[in-house]
Amino acid sequence: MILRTILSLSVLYGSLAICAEPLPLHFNRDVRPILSDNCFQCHGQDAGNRAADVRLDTAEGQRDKRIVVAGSPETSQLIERIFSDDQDSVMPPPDSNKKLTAAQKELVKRWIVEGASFEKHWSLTPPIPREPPVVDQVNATLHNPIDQFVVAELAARGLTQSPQAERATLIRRLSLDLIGLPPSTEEVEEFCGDMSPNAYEKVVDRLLKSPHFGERLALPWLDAARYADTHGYQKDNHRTMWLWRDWVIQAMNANMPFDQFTIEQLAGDLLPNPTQSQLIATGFNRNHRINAEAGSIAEEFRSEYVSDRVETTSTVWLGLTLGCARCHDHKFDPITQKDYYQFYAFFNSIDEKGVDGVGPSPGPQIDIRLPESDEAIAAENRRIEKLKDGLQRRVEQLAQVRSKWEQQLNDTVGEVDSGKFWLVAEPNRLQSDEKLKLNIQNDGSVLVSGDNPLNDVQTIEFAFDTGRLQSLRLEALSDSSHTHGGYARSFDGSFVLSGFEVELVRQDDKSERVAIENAVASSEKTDWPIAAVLDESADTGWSTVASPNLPTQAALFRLSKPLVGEVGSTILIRLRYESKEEQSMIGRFRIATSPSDRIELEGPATLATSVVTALRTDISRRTKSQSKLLDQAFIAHSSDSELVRLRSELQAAEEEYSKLLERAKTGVMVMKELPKKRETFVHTRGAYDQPGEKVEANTPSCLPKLSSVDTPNRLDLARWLVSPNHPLTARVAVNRYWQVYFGNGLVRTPEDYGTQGEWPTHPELLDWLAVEFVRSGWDVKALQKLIVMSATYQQTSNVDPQRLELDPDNRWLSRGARFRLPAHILRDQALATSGLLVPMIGGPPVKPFQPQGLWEGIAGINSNTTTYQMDTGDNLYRRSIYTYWKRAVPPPSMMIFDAADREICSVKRRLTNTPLQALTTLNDPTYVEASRKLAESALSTAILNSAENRNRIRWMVRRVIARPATVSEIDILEKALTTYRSHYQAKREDAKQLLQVGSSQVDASLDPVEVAAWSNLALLMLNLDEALTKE
Amino acid sequence: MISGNHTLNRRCFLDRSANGLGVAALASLLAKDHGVQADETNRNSRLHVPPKAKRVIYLFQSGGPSQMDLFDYKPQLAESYDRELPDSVRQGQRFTTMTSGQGRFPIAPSIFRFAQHGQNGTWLSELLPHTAKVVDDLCIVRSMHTEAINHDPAVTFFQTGSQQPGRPSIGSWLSYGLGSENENLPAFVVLLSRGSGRPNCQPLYDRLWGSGFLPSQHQGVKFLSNADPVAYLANPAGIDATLRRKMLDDLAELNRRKFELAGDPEIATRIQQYELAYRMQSAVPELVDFSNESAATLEGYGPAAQVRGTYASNCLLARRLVERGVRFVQLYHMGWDQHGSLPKQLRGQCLDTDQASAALIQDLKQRGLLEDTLVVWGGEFGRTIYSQGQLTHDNYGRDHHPRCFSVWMAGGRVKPGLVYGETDDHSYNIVANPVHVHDLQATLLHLTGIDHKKLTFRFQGRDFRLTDVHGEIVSSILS
Repeated sequence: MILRTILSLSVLYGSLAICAEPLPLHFNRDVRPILSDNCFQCHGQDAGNRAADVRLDTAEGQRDKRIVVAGSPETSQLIERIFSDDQDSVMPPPDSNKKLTAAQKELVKRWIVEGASFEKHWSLTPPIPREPPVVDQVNATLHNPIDQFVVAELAARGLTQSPQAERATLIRRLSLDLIGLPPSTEEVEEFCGDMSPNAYEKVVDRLLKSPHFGERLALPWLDAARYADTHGYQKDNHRTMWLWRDWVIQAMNANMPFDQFTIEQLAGDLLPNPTQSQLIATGFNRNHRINAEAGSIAEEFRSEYVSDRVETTSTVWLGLTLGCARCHDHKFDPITQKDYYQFYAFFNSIDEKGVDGVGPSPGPQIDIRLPESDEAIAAENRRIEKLKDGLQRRVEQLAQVRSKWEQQLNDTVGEVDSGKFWLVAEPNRLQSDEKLKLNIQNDGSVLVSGDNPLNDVQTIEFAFDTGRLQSLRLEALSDSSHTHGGYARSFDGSFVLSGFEVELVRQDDKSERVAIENAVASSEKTDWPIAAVLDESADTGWSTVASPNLPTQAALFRLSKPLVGEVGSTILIRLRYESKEEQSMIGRFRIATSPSDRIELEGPATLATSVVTALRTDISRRTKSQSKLLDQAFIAHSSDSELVRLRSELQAAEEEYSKLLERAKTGVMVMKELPKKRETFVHTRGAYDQPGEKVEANTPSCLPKLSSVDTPNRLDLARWLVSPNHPLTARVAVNRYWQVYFGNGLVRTPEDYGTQGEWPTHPELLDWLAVEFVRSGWDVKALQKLIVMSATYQQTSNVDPQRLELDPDNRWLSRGARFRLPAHILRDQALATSGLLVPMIGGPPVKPFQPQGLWEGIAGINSNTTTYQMDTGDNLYRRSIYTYWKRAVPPPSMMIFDAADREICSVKRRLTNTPLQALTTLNDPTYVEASRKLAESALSTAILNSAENRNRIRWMVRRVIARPATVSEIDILEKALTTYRSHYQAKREDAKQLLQVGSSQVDASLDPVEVAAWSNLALLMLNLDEALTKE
Repeated sequence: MISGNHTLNRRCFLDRSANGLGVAALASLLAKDHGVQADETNRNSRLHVPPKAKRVIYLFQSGGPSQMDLFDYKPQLAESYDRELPDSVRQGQRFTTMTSGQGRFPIAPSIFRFAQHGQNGTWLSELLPHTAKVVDDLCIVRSMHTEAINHDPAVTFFQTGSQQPGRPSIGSWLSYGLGSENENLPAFVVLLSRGSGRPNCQPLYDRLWGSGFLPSQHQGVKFLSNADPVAYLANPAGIDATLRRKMLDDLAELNRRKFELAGDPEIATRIQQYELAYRMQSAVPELVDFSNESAATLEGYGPAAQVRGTYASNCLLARRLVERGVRFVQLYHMGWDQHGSLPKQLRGQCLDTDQASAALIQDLKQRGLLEDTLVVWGGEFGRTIYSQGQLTHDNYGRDHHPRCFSVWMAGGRVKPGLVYGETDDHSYNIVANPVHVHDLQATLLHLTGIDHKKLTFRFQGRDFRLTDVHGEIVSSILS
């Protein structure tokens, strides 16, 4: 052992612990962390905060003022000050809360004695291709160079490799790591029985080809990209970015090279003739939160979004904490505030708004048509045509009734000035200031859809060629698309109309505001009278109590004097919704007119102008469309039961059709540059409204120059990131992949490769992997394969006391990784082992079970994500990556297991072990239902030939943890089963209740007592440490 | 660097297993008092200064209560009704875009009557008759100020010391720094209620009690007003306590065997956590069951205390929590955002909160708990003296105002009966003894025995703390 240690030392960085003769110190590894922790804050990069004009973070700074005199500690100021006993001169100063240990002081001294060599921070110099170290091949298993690096390091620390894990453990580990799902029993058995030399590799290859590989590897990427299904901030409305999420999964599955993966996400829109897929990819940097809080200052928040992009991009690709330089120069790393804003300039010219988090995909965005719904749309369309034919035939059958109806109607219309009917205005132009969709319905009403902004002003224009006009009626109609089926999409379904204006526009475009004499309304809410719409204040207005029992509310406006129509003139009506009541626009309205000043609000008939015109036209001279119009009017008014039935079916079909159309496309936010770039300034002290020096887009000065471009854009930035000699990108990327398999990266601070970050445990291995990754053409799957093929990865995770003592955190990889499964995979495992999993890939997010009242408890009521409506059917059993992610209230079963909250970029994994986790896997209906399905499978003879308990137990253990159960384990489980069974025999009702948990079908052919007893056993197994853990 | 309980337990465990105790050690780990012992040693080693408060109840009034209608009496403003706010007062301060477009900024004096209460004759609004009765126990700070002007950043700032998300909340820092005093309950509990003043109120977010970059066991546990006060607490239908106990025993037995084989200390921790979960299952229902509260106590909190999920019920629950050693109880009462119809809405908000807040002080005092329990009452910012929207003699609204607002504190050896800080005649700017949010946070930590400069956690290479690089302890309010 000792011999081997010494041998391998010759090819290694020194190990201080073991070496008798100390190896020379390395500035970066040994000294820089001490200086960085204790001195750089006042004697580092940040000139604004530098004390006594002394800096220790550069070679020049160290040599200046005899601070460090190489080889001469006795004349070095640094040594004098750190060893000083004088409270006034000792460094760090006592009030800084920082203190050097005796060992640290000695180390600094020794470094000076040894010549005080200075090195640029390791991560800022490109990785150097090097040969893997030569190690003792007799006592080690070496599958690939990874093992050479690891074994060399182990040997230096008096450690050895652990043996390979059992096959069943291995395939479970592989499967959970590569596809995030456990292996099937058949897969386990096949692998355990496969004696061919490449049995393991075959499994690896199969898993890398699985479409679930993309889902697995997308998970940490979604955390880094802060992907969510709501906008965040206080309104936290729904957003549609799932197409971007699916893009990531597909890219992973297609093994898109990491350089392309980078370029498309950061700058796909700037590629020549970008494809739709490349545009979707740019959603990466639109995943940040977007604010819609009333009263927010737009520029303040737009600047937040840009900063979020800077910080996310720099963390994900550079592993640098650029964010620390937002308000001042970085305290520890060579990043200036100017560097920060030069980087900021790359992301500062997006064609976006600062306050925009209302609609599902604030601009810039693209609408994507989803081909999968084409068939459903066509079918619905066919149904509509059929119903229309049916209606037409019925109208023909009712010819007599119809002509009588027409006669009656004609009589009414004859008395045009009588005030006996309201004439529905037919708008020829509709406009919403907030770009809402305004669509005219069959009944002449206008349905409002699309975004749901806080306020809006809507303009309705209709022709006024002839006749007179003295009264106007505005109806608010209830609709199923409104909140509680009321009149609006506001928090309680009520509306607030703050202003109602009428304008007459003559042919010569001269317009005049028409005075309104008075107004009456069908009902008024206290403090919101109809009269208030006539004052000029935006804060006051008209509202009614929303009640689905009242299909309409109406207001009648009498003009001060009658208006007379002329050819070419139009009436403009302006509905103002400008109060502080948010989203309180009438969701479906209808405007009608009358020449009478005596007409009542309710009672008179309502006719469309075009119908009246058609009626007045002699039958022989009616156009085809006029006849059709009258047919439709007849259909709408007739009480013939057949017509009524067909009519309501048609209405339903049309509603369904438009819903399908709506669902057949989805918006996705993308990156798009403004035609003219915004200017970028350094923000003094980070304040968005305190512009300082003007800057141009550029990369941080401590990194290689972005060459050959005068005015670089995002595409240049992306290409620069993946240039082969970039010191950070490949290191940062391979480290994050490493983390997937080993729980920790080779750099254990994946978010910080700066001087405050941890020194890599295996610097040479990290560099070797980075170089290899680039050399392979950024081949992501090849890199995963390289890692899992290593003997290092395949070691058993069992640990003996000696290893535990020498390598408590497994830094030196003396054993396989053993850690609790990530939140998403834990739930997926339960679904998969129980057979509940619906393995469909991609699509809109789903809402599986979660405890009641979580959204309702804290959501703002005027948000559109206030109530959690659990899905039904397949959506309950989809993989957790598809679970709806509401930022303000993330899924609790994920958060309890340390999932990132997706508010901001997160690349560091956390692992806790808490009682709430135990409660979740014991009591969450997801796990309880999964245990019942497992029980049903175990009891079904289709799976087992033998009805014997022990066989069933054996099967279940294999299913849950892949490995065979030991005899003593089976003994314990069988005994447990007997107890559970007798418990339920005495409490049959309890058994039945347990079976009701969840939504899946209960197998009625099985005895509830048996199923319940076995369910408890299965739940126990799902809660085994071994089941919760990747071994 | 301070290590979490969990790490500490692991380490204890390691020491024992290294001594060859193996399963025997495990058994002793599971002994009932072990967790407490570990915590106790742990906690004391963490204290930087002698603690005055062992527990904190933070009554957060979300939305921004109007200081001049509640605490900051400005009688002389009656004469200025509907007059324009002088530029000399406003000093070019930015407005939210809700009022920045307003043509004028008319002064809206409070329509509420104020009277003097307590031994020191503290002025209080008629909306707070119950608070008035305990005013001698309160320290009212009239000179709070903050940096944020919109709800989300402002509440985030108050709770985490930063306007951007991603930092741990106060309760998480305390849980991390001090651990728990009760082995059956979490150290940091969150209770929520909606205000009747404004039903379409400002929302809250789970991240406000999140642990940020601290280990997630320090995140606040949100109690729900559901049948299940803690998510997933109750056994599923059809599994009773007896059967569950049996199953947990079988589970522990198998996990113990696994531990012997695999040697991973994390397994031992897991066994412990399952036991703690089991104890929580009985501790929490007992906790939310008020049937053993005396009629007098219940009466004190008012009839709403009997309705789960109300502010009054949460105040009583808060007392029961601190009584059981929960370190930090964070209440949120929503609905204090009175942009319009302030007089009507504020009455509703005060009806929700006044009686129960006062009852909580009295209740704690009666039980001798007020001495070492700190109670804080306040929102994320104040409101403007000028009216948002139309001003009439009986109606007005007020916009957000970060430059001054009022909070009160009680217990935990904060000076009782004190009014601290002073604002100008318009309750617009502070003229004496300003208290910044970071100052309040530093003071709060100080009272619990923590030096806010020393409680740090390294993330992204930087030692983060609740107060960022700011915060001065407000020593004048400490006794």
